[in-house]
Amino acid sequence: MYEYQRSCEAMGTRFDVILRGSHGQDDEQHLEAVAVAIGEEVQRLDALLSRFNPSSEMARINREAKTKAVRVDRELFALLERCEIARQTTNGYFDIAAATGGAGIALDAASCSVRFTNPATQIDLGAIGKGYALDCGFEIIARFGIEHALLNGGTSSVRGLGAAWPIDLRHPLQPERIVHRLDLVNLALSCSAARHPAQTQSDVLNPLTSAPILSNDACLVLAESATEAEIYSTALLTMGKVNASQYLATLCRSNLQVKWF
Amino acid sequence: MSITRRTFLETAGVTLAASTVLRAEDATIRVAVIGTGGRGSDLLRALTTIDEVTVVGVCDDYPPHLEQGAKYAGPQAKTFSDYRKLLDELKPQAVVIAVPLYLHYKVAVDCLSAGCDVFLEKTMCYTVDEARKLTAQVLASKRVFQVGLQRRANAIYKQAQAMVAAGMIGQVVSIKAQWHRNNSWRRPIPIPKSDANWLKLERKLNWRLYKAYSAGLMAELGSHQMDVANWFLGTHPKRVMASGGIEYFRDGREVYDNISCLYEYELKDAKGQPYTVRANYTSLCNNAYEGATELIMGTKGSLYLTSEKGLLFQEKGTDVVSWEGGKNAADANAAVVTAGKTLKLSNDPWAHRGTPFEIDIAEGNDTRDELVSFVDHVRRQDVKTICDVNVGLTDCATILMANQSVERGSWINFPF
Repeated sequence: MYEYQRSCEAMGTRFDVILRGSHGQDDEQHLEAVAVAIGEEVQRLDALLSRFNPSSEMARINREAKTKAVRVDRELFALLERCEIARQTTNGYFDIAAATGGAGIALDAASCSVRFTNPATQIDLGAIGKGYALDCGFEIIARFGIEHALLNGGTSSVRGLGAAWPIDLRHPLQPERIVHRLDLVNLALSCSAARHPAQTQSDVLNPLTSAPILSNDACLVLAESATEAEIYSTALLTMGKVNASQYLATLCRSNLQVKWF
Repeated sequence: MSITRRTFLETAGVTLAASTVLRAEDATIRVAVIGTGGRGSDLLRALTTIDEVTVVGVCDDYPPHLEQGAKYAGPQAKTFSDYRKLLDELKPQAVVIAVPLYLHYKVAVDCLSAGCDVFLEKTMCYTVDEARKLTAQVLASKRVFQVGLQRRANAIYKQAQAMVAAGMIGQVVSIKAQWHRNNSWRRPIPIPKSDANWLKLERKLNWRLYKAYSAGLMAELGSHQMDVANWFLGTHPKRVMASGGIEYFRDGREVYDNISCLYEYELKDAKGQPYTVRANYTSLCNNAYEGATELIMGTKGSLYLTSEKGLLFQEKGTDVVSWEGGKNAADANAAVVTAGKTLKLSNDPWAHRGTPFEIDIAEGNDTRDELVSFVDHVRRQDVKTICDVNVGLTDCATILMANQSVERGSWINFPF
């Protein structure tokens, strides 16, 4: 079986694609074409979602939605709706407007538009974009007969298909220390850490207080999609270990696997 | 002339967004999208963000692409596998066409005949003959017509063109443009090679790689950049010599995987003396150094352009020579020398370029902005689009003459 690897730069980090095909779809030409298509998809999403790129749709929303309802495409609207549902189900701990006090986003499905009810609101999809990009990459993988794949977005979000992909987890504050080894089988993982060694305080904000979180924790979440894994690793880390375990107990049906470091 | 950031941005009045503000009473414009593959989907998604537009229909003869188009367009859009049925049934006011190059002419003509305003992806046509016929038909129809060369809608290129026209880089002496990347330019095929339908689907999805449907790198990539050269120089090239081939991706493709072109433009200088500007164009599929860029070189400076950023490098030695000293010099007219010390210049190989001025005004997305502009022209029934049929014709002839030169191994003159 042929294996093909390729990486691309997007969302301020590096994405790695490892593919193994089968059923006659394991030649290098095919795997390269699939890997390139995934890379182009990730870059397309970066151009759509980045708040730093002034030509992105997200930048347009952040510029215009305080003064009017901004019409967006159906894909972006669906992603914003998903973020709003995540905000509600996590009791406000996952919030794409965390930096500007949380909430403040009105979505209208009939016109596919978004408007800020708080003029200070700015959306940042940084906590979900990589996971969403991995899931979109997986749609391409599914379409083109790939049976084994590993996609890695900046080493904090990973999604695997087929083979058991061994993953080592480094300690967030002692990068030389491997604290956990797991085999990723048809699941996605996201790991959010309060801070890394170079930071004196966390850049993760509690949306309910707009203050940086104070713990030194790292929260690893395994879920069925990378988007879901990112939503929960962010929300649970922000809640803190104790609140998070109480919150998880209230979820009636959850396929989440959670580990703390 | 000393260029400050202020004068730099003030030059030549750049319009950033659409020329008009949308008004609530404006009726929506019924648009259909023909071809919902990669590029068609980009255009379709952008269309759905424009307030005045209702996408009434989408068309593609490849079911997975049609399904994708239907998803992006929304439930109000009807789906078709035959664009003629779409035209008959929906009678859209405007169409956006993003089909393989060899179909551009036929689909565009049918849409014009159905009374539609037309946005046609670049390159305008597969042959110069078709492009000339289409030009005549567009002009006779009085329909709004725009070709998808989106650098014409990009704030950076508009600013750069205004700077060149204002003489800020002096006399343009040479242009170097390239689109280099490192991948096979091949779309994946959803069925294995052993499947009897593989070859058919390969030729359909990878139409860019086969000569019966595509004019290769020049049409798909070079058309954008040679249009920049034509636009900035205000004319078309006089002749071209080009060389290309399949040197690396020997995978059954028929179009070159690399090409190098030397174009000559005949211009007149400020004194009316004729001179030639040479434009070097290259496209590669196996080295991405410096990506997709244009370098416009003038006697006073160089503009280095990409879709996201524009840089102006001033030529050294074209301003007043300033030695060390300045206000500490005993006499303002004296050049200051330092005993026993030679002025040391940096040995950084890029030091000669100096610190550039940045064109950093790229709010807006050129694919969306070209469509905003098109829709605005449709609404006002203004045929003077930002990239009209004559621009499309000149661009088409410019890029096809390079392919012809490769095939003949000789200089090719501009065809008209």
